[in-house]
Amino acid sequence: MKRPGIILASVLAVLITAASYAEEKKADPYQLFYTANHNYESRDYLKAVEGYVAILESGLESGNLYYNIGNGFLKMGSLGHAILCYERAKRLIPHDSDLKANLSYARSLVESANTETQGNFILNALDAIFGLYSLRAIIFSATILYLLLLLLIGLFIAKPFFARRFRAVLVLVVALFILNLSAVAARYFDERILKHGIVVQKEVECKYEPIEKSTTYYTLHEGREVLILNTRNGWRQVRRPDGKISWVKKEAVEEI
Amino acid sequence: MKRYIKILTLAYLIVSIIAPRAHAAEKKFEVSLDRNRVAIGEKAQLGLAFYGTQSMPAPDLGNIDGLDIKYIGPSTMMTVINGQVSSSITHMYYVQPLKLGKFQLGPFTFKYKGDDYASNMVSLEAVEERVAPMAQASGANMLQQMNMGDRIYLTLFVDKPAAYVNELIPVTVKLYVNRLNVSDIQLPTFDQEGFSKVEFKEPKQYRERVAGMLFDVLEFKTSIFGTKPGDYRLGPAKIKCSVMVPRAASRGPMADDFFPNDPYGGSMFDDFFTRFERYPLELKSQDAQIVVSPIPEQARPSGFTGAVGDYQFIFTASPTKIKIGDPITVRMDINGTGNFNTVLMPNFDNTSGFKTYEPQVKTEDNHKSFTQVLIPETDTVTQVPRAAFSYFDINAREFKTITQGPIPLQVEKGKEEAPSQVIGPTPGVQPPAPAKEADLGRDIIYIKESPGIWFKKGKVYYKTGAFFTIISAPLMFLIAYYVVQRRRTRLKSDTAYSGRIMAFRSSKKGLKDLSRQLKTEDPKIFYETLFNTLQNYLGYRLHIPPAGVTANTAVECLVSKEIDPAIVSKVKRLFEACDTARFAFLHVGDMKMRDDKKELEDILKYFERKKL
Repeated sequence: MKRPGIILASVLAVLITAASYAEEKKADPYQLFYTANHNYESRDYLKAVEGYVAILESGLESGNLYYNIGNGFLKMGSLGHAILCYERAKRLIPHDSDLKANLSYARSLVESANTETQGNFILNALDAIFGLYSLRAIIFSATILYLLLLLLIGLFIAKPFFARRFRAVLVLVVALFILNLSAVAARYFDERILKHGIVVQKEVECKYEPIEKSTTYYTLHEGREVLILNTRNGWRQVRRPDGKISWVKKEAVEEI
Repeated sequence: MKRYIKILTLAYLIVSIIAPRAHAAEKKFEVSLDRNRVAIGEKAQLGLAFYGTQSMPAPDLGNIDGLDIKYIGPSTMMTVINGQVSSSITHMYYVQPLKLGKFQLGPFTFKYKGDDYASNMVSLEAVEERVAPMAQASGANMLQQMNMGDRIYLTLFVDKPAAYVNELIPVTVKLYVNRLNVSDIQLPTFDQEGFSKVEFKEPKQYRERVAGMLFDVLEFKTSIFGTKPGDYRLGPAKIKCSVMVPRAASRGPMADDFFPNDPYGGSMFDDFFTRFERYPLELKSQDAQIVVSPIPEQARPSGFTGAVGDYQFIFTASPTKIKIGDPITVRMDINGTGNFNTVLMPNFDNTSGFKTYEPQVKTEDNHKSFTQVLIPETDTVTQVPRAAFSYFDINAREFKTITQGPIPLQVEKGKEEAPSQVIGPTPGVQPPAPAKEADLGRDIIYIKESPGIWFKKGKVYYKTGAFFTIISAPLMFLIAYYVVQRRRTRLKSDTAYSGRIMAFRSSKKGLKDLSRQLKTEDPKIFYETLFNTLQNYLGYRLHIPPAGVTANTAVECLVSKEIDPAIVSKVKRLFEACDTARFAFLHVGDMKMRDDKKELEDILKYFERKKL
């Protein structure tokens, strides 16, 4: 781990460079990606991350891109940003075993790691079935099942004979559709309604009130995951996995 | 009957076992007040608790000048824990001061059945009556009026006033609460300059009697250690919480008239109308003095890294019979009491001839383990080197070094390359088993070579108009198809429904034709159309073939269906008017035709509303 000042300066440099990239004529994302990969191989991690972020600035994203950015940040010693990028990658390529391994490794480096929250049985079951698929994929499969269901219903209306003969098929499709729809609802709520955030600074003082001189409630270490409840006047209201709510500086926590 | 005898026998046995023990239990007499400060007119509750007996009658406390004492009643309690029986009786009294001042209650002495009972002493202070009723006081005033200092306070206690650098110092913060509803209690915080970071454990809750008053106590425990020598003031400890304060709702004058307050200041309305308000409160304790001394320099071992406490050191290595390049897992366990934050891995004497990896460290309560992988690089290595752990023993106030090892090893050379030979299995010769894999370290998996599928940032297909069209259009189509299909089926199967539909259609068409024919002023054609319209309509509605509908059949059928006689006569008259115009060749005026069309419309309107 390098000193936090160097990492912060690196991150700022990345963002400034990314902004200048955005002003330039849009380059081929593939070319940018392979160039950044080459920089990574040459152990010039800062330049590699700059290249990857330039692609993001051009309006494109991919699971592999976020994964590589996460690797770059981890090599530079910025654990919080690394976990943030891995989490973003997870939303696009949740099935990727390399990503799982790196995310688990990064989380193992977090001081006072997150206490695992025990979800309820239904949510755990849904996660076990659909955990390997992204929200896009789950919505797509739900759409296919929905259209199939409409087709079956239409067929049964037109030919009541089929309704008597293939009732079991309809029941199966309905059950699968309800299961898939529940997974969509659960995942959509988790990814789009709830605002998950990652602590991106070394040690963050969490206060009772969004005031600089307020009493510190507890501290959060880099890489810890929190839930963002509110954002106001440069402060974020966050909830720790154990339910404790506090206020932190906006720049200390990045939304996934 | 037998069952009752069994129960009585069992009860007798239990009583005969318990009674002597209960009697043998220690007799104690204790006096307590639920509060030690009241306003004139208010009342406190006095409890006289006799332990070890349950037959003690209510003692007469006599007259105490300035106090009005009324007996409320007794409450008894018996507990059996691990066969030990403890019983008690508490006699409760209301105590109401009649004048300002401080009163002493006790020590009381009683003699009962040859036993002497002597109690402790408690004091009660009577202060001036409240200026404003609770209901009208503001939040801050209310908290002041409630004498918070007596009823909720915080203490900070440090086990050791003097300690060495890195020595664990147990710290206890206690929150005392007396008859208050306290919520949102946060973990304590205190200034800790020169000390390690504080992390409190889950608090313990119990009851404690302080100066004759019973308090609910929340006890927070932690351990700190000084990081540099010096004289420090620890604290004050602070706790934030909320106090629920009763706020009586306004009562109408009628309530006071009909239900006057009871002699003790409450009323039957209070419990019902009282609502609570939450007020934030920050409590501060006193601070504590701690002297942190430096660890002595004299006789300090070279391998000392700052461990302070009392420890044991266990040292194991496996396997001890290996080939060059095979890993040996050396495990070093440090157990004991002390500050494990400052316990570092014991030092090896010499690790030449070994390749070493970063050790894995695991810390638990009173235990820290280090797992170190050593890989012999040569067969000249004969032992796992010695390891020494040095610490400063607090009790003996001296440095101690525990040395473990060396552990003998048998290191064999790896198999030398065999000369070239024809590849193939040799009968009777088993191929050598592959070497066991071992996890030696951990790092991230390499970057992705290709970018994968590109997505436009912030744009998702399921939020586009096309997606909503794909979702909604088939559903709309299905609903429309279902409605049409259902209507078709009904037209086929439901004669009443289909008749009604057909009747409506034919009447609509007929009325349209009649409106057009009114302009041509040809009565013959007009009344032909009117007749057909009425005939068809009634045919479809009455489920008679339209061609078979005449004035007589129509009237008969309508009468049987209990249709309004006025409508029946209108139908009959219209049929007759049609026949007259069609077959009698009489001139019919324009007004007459309009009236007949109007009459037809009225008949049709009536039947459209009517269920046949």
